[in-house]
Amino acid sequence: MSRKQWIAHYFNQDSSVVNKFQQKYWKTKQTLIKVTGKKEDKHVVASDADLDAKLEVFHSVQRTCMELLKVIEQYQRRICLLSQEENELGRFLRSQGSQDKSRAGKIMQATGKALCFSSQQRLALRVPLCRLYQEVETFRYRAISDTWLTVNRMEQSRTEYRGALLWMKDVSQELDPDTHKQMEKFRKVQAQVRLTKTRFDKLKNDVCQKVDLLGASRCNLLSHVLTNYQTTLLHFWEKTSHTMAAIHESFKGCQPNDVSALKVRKETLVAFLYIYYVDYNAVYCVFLVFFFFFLDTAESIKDRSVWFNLFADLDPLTNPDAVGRTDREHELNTA
Amino acid sequence: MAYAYLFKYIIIGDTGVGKSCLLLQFTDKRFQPVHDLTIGVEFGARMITIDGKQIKLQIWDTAGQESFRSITRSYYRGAAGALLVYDITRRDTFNHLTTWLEDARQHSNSNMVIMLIGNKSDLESRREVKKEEGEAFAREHGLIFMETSAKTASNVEEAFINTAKEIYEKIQEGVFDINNEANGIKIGPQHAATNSSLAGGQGGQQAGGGCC
Repeated sequence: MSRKQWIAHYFNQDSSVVNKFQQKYWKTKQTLIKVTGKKEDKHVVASDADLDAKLEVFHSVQRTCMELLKVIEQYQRRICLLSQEENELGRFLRSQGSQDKSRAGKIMQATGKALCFSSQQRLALRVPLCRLYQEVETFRYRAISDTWLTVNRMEQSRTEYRGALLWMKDVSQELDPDTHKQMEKFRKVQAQVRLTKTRFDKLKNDVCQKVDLLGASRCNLLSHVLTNYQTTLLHFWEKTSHTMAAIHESFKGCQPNDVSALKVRKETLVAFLYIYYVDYNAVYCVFLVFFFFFLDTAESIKDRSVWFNLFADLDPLTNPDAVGRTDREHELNTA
Repeated sequence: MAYAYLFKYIIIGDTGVGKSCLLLQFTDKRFQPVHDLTIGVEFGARMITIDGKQIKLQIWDTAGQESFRSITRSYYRGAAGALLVYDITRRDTFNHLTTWLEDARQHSNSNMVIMLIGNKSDLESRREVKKEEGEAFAREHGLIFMETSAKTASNVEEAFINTAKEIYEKIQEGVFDINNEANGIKIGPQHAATNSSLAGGQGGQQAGGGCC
């Protein structure tokens, strides 16, 4: 019988109980090897190196998408919190400023107004972030889960193929082409190896292609959605820094001599440091620079030491909320 | 069919170098440009005549793909001759020869005759490995060397037959113990009687005795 006839013959016999049983046996054996982490045939492992590298990429895409979603969520929450605090601080400055008839009062009012404006503008960031979240979520549900299914199918067929290879190795130990019985058995196993190999090779190819596509489409997605976010962020920065710069400009050369003004400034700086601590956004550098300008104009050394003590309090390891709040509350109480 | 001796051959080398095509050319005198991937091993057989004796070559054409490496190792056992094949148009197949040779030496008997074959000699324009390099490698490792083309059949007969001649000579010299089947040599049914009567004598004379 020719090889082709042999294959046809054994495909027909595929349903035979014994054959099925033997297949199951070797598949189970391979599963056991895999599960127990026993050392696998290094040549078989090496021949799948490209596939395993692709799987690594897949797992990294899976993991980082998950992380990205968490980070976006946290970021959203912080933006809201920050906006609230910013707004409160703005209102506080405005109310304090309205009671103070000096120039410092005007500064406080103007700054308070700017802060309220900034707090509103900040919320605009949420729109592109929501979009990003949705897009990544959809990507996870559709693309990643689809690839994951293919990966699972591939792993199944890999186990079957490796099981068949184990079987072939076993029958190869004693093989004589001139012995009919041995050859019969060998051809049966060979047909099984060929069948499982064809399936596995196809799925292997599918997985590699899908993972490549997955990586490319994620890049595409991020570059699209992040452009939107970046534009919004820049827009927000431009607006707020413009407002701050205008305030700075209008109060240039102001000499703070008033004690009460100093007191309020102290409070405001504490509050700003608190915000700076909550938020890692660069925009607060603008605020800080603005207030350090005031600090530089303060004449009293004693006053400066208050600021330095404050900085010493801001231990990066402690909870920023606690540091800011107690300090601010304390200052508010003593005001 | 009656034969004086049976020699077991194995064909080894990287995937796609033309092992199965060499076998097909030798046994069927045809060439298949597209060949199915060999799964594990395929077999071929042909009778040749050396020194007026019928010799059956039993050829094991092994799979070159790496995933079959552990399986094909069990086929080395008991081979009298090996054709180690590389593709002259693919430098990497030549670079892997050392690994193949180590494998062959480790898993077969030390007397196994190894023929180094640079296949696809018809593709001169795409040649990446010079003939001199193949010769040098063979000289260095004590192999016989030939460039062949399974497509044009150039040197294919010679490659298989020269290997058989070398084995035959080794039998004459008494290097091979023909009664030990682990050496990859079987005595044919027609000679079994004469040989078994001489089994106690020196191996070297055995073959000569059978010839007269």
